[in-house]
Amino acid sequence: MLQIEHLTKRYGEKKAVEDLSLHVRPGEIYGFIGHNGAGKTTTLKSAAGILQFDGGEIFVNGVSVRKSPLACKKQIAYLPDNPDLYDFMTGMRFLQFIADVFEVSSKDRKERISSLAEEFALTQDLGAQISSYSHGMKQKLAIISALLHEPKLLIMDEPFVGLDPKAAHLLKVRMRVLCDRGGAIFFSTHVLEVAEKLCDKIAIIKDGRLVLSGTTDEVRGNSSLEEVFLQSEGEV
Amino acid sequence: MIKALLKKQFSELAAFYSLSKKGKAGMILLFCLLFAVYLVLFVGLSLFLAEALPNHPSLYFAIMSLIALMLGVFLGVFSTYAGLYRAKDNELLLSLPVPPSLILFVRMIGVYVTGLLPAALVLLPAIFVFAVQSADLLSILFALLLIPFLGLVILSINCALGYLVAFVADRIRHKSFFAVLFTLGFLALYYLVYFRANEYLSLLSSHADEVEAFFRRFLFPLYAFGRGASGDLLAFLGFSACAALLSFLVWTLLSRTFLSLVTKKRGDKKRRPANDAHPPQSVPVALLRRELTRFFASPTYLLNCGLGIFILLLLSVLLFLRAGWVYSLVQSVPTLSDYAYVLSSAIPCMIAATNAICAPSISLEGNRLWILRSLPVTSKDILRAKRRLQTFLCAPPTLLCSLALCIATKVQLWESLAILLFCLLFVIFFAEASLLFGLLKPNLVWTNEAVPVKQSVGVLLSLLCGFLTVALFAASSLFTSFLGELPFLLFWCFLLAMGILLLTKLLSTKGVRAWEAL
Repeated sequence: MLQIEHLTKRYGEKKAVEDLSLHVRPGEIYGFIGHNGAGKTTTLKSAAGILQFDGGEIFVNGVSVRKSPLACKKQIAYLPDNPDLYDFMTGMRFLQFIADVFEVSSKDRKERISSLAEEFALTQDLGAQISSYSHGMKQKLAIISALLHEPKLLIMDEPFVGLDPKAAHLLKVRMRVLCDRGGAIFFSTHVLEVAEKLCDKIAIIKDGRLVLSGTTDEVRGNSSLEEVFLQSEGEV
Repeated sequence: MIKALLKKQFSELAAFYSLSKKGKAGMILLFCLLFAVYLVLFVGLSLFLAEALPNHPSLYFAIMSLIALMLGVFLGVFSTYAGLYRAKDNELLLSLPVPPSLILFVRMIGVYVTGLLPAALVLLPAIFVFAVQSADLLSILFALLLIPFLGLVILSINCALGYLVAFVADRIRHKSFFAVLFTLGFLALYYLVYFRANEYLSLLSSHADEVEAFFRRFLFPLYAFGRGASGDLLAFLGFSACAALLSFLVWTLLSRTFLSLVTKKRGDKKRRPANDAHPPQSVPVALLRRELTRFFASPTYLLNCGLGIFILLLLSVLLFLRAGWVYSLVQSVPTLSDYAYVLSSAIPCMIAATNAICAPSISLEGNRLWILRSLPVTSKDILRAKRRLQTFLCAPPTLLCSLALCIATKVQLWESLAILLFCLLFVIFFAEASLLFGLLKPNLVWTNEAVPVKQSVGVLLSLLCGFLTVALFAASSLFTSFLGELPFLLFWCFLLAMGILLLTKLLSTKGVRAWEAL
């Protein structure tokens, strides 16, 4: 589903990501962990077609992000770590805008908005301005907008930050449902317990380079993911 | 601590003008040019007044201070609200060990500068004219020293009005509508006074004593300013002390409510289920609607970049109602009647050139740029939506105003059609130019939206480009009378069409690259 081949991205002289390769297959939840500034967000943004990269290639379902960004974006949903949404819109107006851009039919959008909003307990607030939303509500709205067009690939940057326990649980359920339907998820997190329980595969990035990747069992071996991560960071 | 906060406050502005050496020199030149134009305007006004009031220096200064005060308040009130209460770094600063009153103090310095500049722009020429006519050094010195104190009065009024706007904004839903209504009311008053200036000036010179008495009775602070500026030590000291005390009082009072106002959630606090009856729209329409929603949701954006639309509409109505009066006015000046076709095209275009809606729309994406970036829409579609917003909003009122002028001045049919075509092409040309300037001079790191809307290099360059194009059009008509009206207008239509083609090409290449590199 997502193929990252030798990705390299520089910011001026600094190499944020260097020669990074990984594959996310259909049905997989792929966790991406690393210290702050390791290059996680850069990799995720490059995969979502938001950032232009300097070297390598990224394919979504075999389509090059560099050559056909729109075709790739139609299959992707991206959720940033800090959901800055359009404060000047109401929640519903924002969802309708996203549905319009993804050309979701009238019937589908009505059903999906209704069920997702109900699930994330946002129905009663969709008519209010986004400027009046709390951080958690914005995060929920961003999640609903990401799921609205039923993406094949969901790319998320720290998706659990700001969510209440119920919403976090709902998101995990939704992630599994999406993967069971043949979709794939690539997300970054600092919550290693979540990664350990939720992910089929895990990759650890350090200073822009991939230091470890594989199935969750392969990566952690006989230790906990925390120990493996700290070892990779040279802390243990 | 104050130093650090001040540095932060001004670095925002400094970062915005972080241009190349050549660019900086150009901008300084541009500002000097604009400053010079305004200085000449106010020197003219001061000369008029000084002639009308030869023996009333205190009244002369009182009137000039009233003009300075009104200009300072008008230009500063909406940015005061945004600057004091709606800065994006409010929560960050409040989380630091900085007293809220100090944050307010630093923000008030920004407001002070915004009010002081227009005041100085009015009063410096007034003092210059006074100095030429009277060599009283003490008066000149007092008048100069009083400018910063008048700035304090403007600051106090702006802060009080900013508080009122914050208070009202929290309680009403259609903020933009009321903001436009208020501004239009103010403008109507301004033009009423402006058009009757001659009448008022003659009244002033014949009733100077009564007017002075009026100031003394009802506008005593300005009367005291006038007395102080014309050499009265007691008035000088009294005005300075009162202005300082007033601004201190305003700061103390606002400090009490600052925390509660900046931490209040804006928007509709009530839970509100949505009306889900919403027909699907095509991508271009959805993008255009997004631009429209943002434009009408922000009073700052609407007022600074869209006021010309309302003026054009009002002017059109007035022109239709007073067509006969306009015709006789144009006919009364022989040379003017020869250039009715220039007036009918230049006036609407000049007003339309104040609506640089596209230019700040790039910077206004700010930290929400990721949304458009992650969606399956092309950069060209996004830029087209921005361009369409300006064209769709500005073309109808510009054409209407132009049509009203053509009818009022009785321009021939074919010439009228050419004028309408010229106006339409100008609106398209100006929208494309504004967008290009917005793309070339973006600022995505603002902390309040007044910065990209009011203090943006892109907006300034767009306005200049629009005004210069119209000025060039009007000036060229003086030297091309041999061409005839219709060929002249068609020639300019051709020039604008070429300009549009060039800008379209630039936008689809350089513009798209600039957008994608943001």
